Amino acid sequence: MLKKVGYYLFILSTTSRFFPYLLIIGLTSFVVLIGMNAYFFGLFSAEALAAEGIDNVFGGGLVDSIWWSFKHLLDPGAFSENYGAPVFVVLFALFNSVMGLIITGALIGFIVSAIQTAMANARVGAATVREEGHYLILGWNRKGAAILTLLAKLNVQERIVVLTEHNLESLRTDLRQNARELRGLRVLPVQGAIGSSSELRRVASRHASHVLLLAESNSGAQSDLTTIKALTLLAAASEGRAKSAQLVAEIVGKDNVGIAQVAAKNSHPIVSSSDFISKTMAQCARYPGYSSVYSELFASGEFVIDIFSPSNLEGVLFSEVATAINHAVVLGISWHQERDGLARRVSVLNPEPDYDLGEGDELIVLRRQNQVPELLAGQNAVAVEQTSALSLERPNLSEALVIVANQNLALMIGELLKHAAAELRVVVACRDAVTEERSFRQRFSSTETDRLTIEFVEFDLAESSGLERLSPESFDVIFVSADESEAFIDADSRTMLVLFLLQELKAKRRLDAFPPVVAELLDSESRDLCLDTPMTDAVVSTELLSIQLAQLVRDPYLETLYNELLNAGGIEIGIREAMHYADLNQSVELGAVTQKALEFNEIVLGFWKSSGQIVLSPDKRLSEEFEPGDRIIVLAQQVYL
Amino acid sequence: MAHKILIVEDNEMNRDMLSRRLTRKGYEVTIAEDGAIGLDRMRSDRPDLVLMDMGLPVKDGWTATSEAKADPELASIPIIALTAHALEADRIKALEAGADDFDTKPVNLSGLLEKMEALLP
Repeated sequence: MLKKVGYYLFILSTTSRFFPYLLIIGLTSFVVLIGMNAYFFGLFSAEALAAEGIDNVFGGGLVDSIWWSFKHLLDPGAFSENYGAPVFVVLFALFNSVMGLIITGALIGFIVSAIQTAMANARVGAATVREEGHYLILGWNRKGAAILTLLAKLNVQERIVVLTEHNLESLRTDLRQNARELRGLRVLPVQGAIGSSSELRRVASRHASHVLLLAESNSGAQSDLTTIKALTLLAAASEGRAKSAQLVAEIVGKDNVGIAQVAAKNSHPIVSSSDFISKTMAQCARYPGYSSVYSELFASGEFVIDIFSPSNLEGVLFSEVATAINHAVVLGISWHQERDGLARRVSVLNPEPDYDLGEGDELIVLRRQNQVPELLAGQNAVAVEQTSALSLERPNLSEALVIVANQNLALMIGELLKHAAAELRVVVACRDAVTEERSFRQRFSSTETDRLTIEFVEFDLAESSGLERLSPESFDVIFVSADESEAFIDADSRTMLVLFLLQELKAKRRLDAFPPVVAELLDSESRDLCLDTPMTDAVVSTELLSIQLAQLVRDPYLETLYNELLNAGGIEIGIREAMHYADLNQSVELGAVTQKALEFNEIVLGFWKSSGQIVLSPDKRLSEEFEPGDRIIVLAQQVYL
Repeated sequence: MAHKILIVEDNEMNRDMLSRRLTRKGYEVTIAEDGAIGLDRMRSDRPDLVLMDMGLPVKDGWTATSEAKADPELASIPIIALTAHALEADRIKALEAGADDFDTKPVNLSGLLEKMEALLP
């Protein structure tokens, strides 16, 4: 019997939150009832009434006995007031006082325990979110902190809820390490599975204004499955709603992008991290320094891409507005279009200068956060109706060395092949040539294999002579990929070691000219440690991709712009010698440089002084004297000559 | 009646731009994203002229052009080849594939319109 009672007590205590309190109430009532039995042992006798603590206000009946018993239960000090009462009454008073101490102790224990549980729940993020119009980050990886930093720069006021399966302590560490940059941001970390509908409800996903889906890990397939499931749940939840959240999702494997787009009903940007890294590395190979420009443009938080709609644009040529608008670079045009029953914003970068703007056309501008585009006086508008291709040697790669293979190798080589006008030879130096070659053959999907010659050679970082045998100086470009194959060795440390070995080799062989070196780094701080190496570009994927994700969730129409800037065959950011646009060592108005570029069907984004200073969206009325080594940063159609 | 132009182009921006400019000039424009879809559209839409990019996925422009010209039903549809690879070899390759004319990207609209008008029925 007792065992059965014990079992029921166990069941109740584990299944009911209120059971402990009901137990306290029951025990209190029971003790009060026992205490009332003092009535039968002379509680209200003449002897007892002489004691200070025994009252008979209501004639020494039921009410007075309840009062007496209850008083002793709640106040141990009342025991002393029974001095002079009969022994049995004192014994009852003693019993009630002792039980009162036990019950009060238990009650305090329950309350403290409940508070501790509530605090622990809050600490592990088990709370239910009650927000409206908040930012929701589903998943957490290295990019998370960088995204938050950018949102802080963009002065996001809404609460940012982060739901992740990871231990929240590591997330909090990320937040603490970036506390200064994240000042003003209201971040609420919550722990839970992003692929669970109940968890999505718990973080009020239906009421979020912006949703960023991050890969929970870099493992690829598994992480992408979770992301795709979350996308499906979010799409189902938003069905029938007049307004759904702006959403962007990160997918690790490029092959999974199509499925993710279906899951998102083709209405949200999907960014493939492996595709982004591969394309950026290929662009950096073509234009050494590309990553600095890209970073300055999109990572500094200083510039925004915006829509500008001045009046009376109809009939005006694109070249006229491009030269007449100051404090902004006119990147292209945009309009709304209906296709397949869906209204969408169409964005086109770098249109032909003779494009005549019409009804519904708006301008896409790059401007500083704190500046407003200004329309200069009429005489500044220059009509450029005929263009000619700028005659210069285009960056074509025919031989590339890849040191250390990773999962992006096939994509990167595919991208290089798209940019290569003719044959491409690639040497991949890796630890296990046979395995890497097999993996490459499985992943490589380009149809233009007849233009590619690829060779896998064994390379061990511990053996520095191995690098010498490769003769890296004989290649057009050297890629150093991030090797995350061994969790206990930091990928950036390996990359840095390769860069130092290249530096040593360059010094040893007394080489003045050395090919561009594009390194993939995971941490932006590692870049600063490599400044004395031959590295020309650091592709800090976590940094650059974070920017893209943070901007796309706010302005989804930028998706085509970002894609276009990195894709082969479209519009690209070109970095060209200044001499093509202005006479060197002579002062030239920057508006004239803009006009000259338009004659080549290019748009001037800014310039890059040989001293290293990058100036973007300069004032067109200012003059500048360019020297040999100075470069102009332009948006241009990719041409492969 | 407006002439029907089929633009076969994989680059979304180039497609949007050219399509908008030609629509404004009074043409009726349809689009295809790769060479295979382009051939299907030629069969289903019967355009008056095709602007064919050469560097296309799935089926490149050279192959699509030569297949169109080999098909008696499609052979009469004029094709202007477009490419960013401004090489003489590409021009010759496009003409050998059967293209009726050739133009480079970025497109000079007035020049392209002249070529189109010369080929349109």
